[in-house]
Amino acid sequence: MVAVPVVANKRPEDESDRSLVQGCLRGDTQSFRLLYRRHERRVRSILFKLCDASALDDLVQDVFLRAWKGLPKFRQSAEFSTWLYRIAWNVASDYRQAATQGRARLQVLTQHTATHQDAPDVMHLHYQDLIQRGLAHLRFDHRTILVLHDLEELPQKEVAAILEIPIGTVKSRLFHARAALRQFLQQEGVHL
Amino acid sequence: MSQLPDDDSKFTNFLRRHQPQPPPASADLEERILATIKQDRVTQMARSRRRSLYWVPATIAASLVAGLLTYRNLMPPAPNPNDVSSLETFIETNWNGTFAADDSSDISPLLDAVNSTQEAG
Repeated sequence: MVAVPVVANKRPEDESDRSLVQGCLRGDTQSFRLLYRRHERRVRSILFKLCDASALDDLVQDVFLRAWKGLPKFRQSAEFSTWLYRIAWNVASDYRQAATQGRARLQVLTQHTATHQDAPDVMHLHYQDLIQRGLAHLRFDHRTILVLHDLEELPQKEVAAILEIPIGTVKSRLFHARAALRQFLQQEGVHL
Repeated sequence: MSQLPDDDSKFTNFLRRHQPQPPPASADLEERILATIKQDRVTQMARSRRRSLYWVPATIAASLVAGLLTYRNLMPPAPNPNDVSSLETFIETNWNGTFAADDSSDISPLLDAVNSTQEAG
């Protein structure tokens, strides 16, 4: 009896982004579902901090539909996540522009903060509200840098790639963004 | 991540600890997105099939024209009457006297044909 080595099949969730993108290009929508599940949370978080929650589901949907349609043009040499966050940033920019042109007010979110806690930490909710309002006060380019680097913890190199700006510009905007937000928090009584 | 000065570290730690969290997605958001994508794929495939059908009559027409031209080019032309006459003269000239007089019973059928052509002319 000959022993046949059994090669364990790779679990779909272990496949790399690149491999899943290849699957999508072959028309496999299940590969896209896995990409969605892998990146949805961060995309949602970025959009929430750059826009507001009133249209968040629609914005997330917009990002992933643009990603699906744009896959044939996606350069395989680049990171999928960088490309996807770029799309998220474009969607956020378009949304804000449309909101400004439509004279819609960006809603300040105080109601939609952490809801998963059993015993609400009032100070935590207060600080969350302050940070959200502080972000809304920043210029959009400063806000973007702060969200991507400080809150989403993306390295400066990746932030530069997403926004297609030099790393020097990332550093400069980060400096000004932190200074502006720090000043806002101090005015609200938070001294760090 | 780059090294941060102490106060910036405290600042970013504070931001991360208290950063606003987005509300959860609607329960059906994933399915809505996938349904839209599947519909988009169906539309794309139908469009691609329609586009390929446009080529069928054009391909048939092109094949017919190519076939007609090829036939015309490869078909040998009808022989020129002057050429036929020259050929007969050549044969007569070269084959005359090939066979001896008492071999008349064995005269080549070709010679007969040449003679009969001459008599007819």
